[in-house]
Amino acid sequence: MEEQLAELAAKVAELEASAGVTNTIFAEAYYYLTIPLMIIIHAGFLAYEMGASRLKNVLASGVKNILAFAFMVPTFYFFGWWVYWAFPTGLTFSAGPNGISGWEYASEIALPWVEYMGPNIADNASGVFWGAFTLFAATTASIMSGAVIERIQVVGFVILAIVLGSFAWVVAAAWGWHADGWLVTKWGLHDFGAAGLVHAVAGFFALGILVNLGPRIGKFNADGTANHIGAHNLPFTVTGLMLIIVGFWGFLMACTIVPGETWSWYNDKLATIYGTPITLSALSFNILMGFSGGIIGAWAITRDPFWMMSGGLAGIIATASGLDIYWPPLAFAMGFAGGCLLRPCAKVLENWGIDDAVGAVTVHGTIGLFGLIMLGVWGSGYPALQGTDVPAISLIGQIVGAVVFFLLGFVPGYVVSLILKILGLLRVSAEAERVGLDSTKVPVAAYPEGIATSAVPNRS
Amino acid sequence: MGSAFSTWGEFTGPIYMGAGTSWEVIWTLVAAGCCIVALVLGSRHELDAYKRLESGGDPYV
Repeated sequence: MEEQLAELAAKVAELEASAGVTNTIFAEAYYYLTIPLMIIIHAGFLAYEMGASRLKNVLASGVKNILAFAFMVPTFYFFGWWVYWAFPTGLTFSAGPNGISGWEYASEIALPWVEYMGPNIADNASGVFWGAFTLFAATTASIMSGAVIERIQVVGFVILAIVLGSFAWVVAAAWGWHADGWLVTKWGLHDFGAAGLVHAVAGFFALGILVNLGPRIGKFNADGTANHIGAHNLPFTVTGLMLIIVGFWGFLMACTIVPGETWSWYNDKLATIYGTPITLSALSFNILMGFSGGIIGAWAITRDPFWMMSGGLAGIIATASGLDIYWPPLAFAMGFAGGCLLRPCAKVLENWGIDDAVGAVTVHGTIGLFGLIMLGVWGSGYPALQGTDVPAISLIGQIVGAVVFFLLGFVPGYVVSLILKILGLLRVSAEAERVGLDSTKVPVAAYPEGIATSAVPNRS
Repeated sequence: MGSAFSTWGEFTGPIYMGAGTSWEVIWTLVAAGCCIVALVLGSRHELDAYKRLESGGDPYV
């Protein structure tokens, strides 16, 4: 009998070990697969930006966009990942209530010369988490990239992309997207899909740059009225927007914590980054409803395919903060509102003399804050974190988060671009802008055999 | 709408806003209303464009 019991115990232990390995490999594969999905976001931004550029600047816009992605990887490795773990409790760098933050913890797990930051068969998590966060970082840089096309210097742009992608948004994430983040633990901020801490930060960082960068030559007339500078390939831009939305599924999938690992919130269910329960079904319902609401809202107002696809993006961003808890028809209505708001908000910016070439400030900045704040209206009272005696989601908490994210975006964007302007590293020369950046500095031509022009005039 | 619970341990089943209340129907009607409004506006725009074209004007506004 004892022998049989021992045999059974050994068998159970073996099965447990086997199940544990399966879970670990599943968890690793789950985050690993979010990375190529998020790279689709960048394929989308690349197409979007190149399509939105005029013929004379197509490849220069592409070069800039590709470099933003490339520089994000090493810089996020060098210091971005460390910032995320060191900053949650504010500028004190102390450990937070969950004990997974602060200077000491960050230095132990995220400095580029520690054992977790390289191939390690005892650690299946660090690399895939770092990879997913690196792609979040690259997304913020790409959001800003489109707004500044056709007149920014490449090196100045890369410096700005690094400041945004490997520092500014990371601080926002540490404060509002980490279980020890002070905006979460003190104010009950909830921003599951990063409407504020990715989209709004990136959008308003772009606004800070645009103030110093100035409009493209020919955008505004002497009396302040604006001219439309048409995309050279609108179908390419619209397809790029759709690709961004495909990649968003990977982005939002990576915003969850899978169960069953030592670092998981639960053994039996998926959680948000705050430890609150979520299902992938919730994401399926609400992403699709927000997306379609945004397209329909933008169509109702503009009839313009560029704004319709931007509306799809805006619809997801408008619902992103509460994708885990929205009722799908409410997500649709939120997306619809986001889509309707787009062009009027973009017009306001234009009336202020801001030349945002692709509407990034509006789509990501304005709609990001709209989504963040509206969650405080609809979702007040929900516990913001896992555990007892935790703060609840509230309108005030969401507004505080919105103000912080606006400042974390706008201030560094404005200050760093001002310094670059003083150093002569921000804007290309007027002559280069007139001639075109492709023939000035790109060694190959986008369309060496030419391109047919449209028979229908652009009406936007 | 909010939540009647103070911890996530108390939640079982639906966790969306307004679960089990009339908000479910209200928001469904609002969403359907958005679709109808968009279709009405879209139809008006489309028919106006055809009329303008037939009368020799610029179809686009």
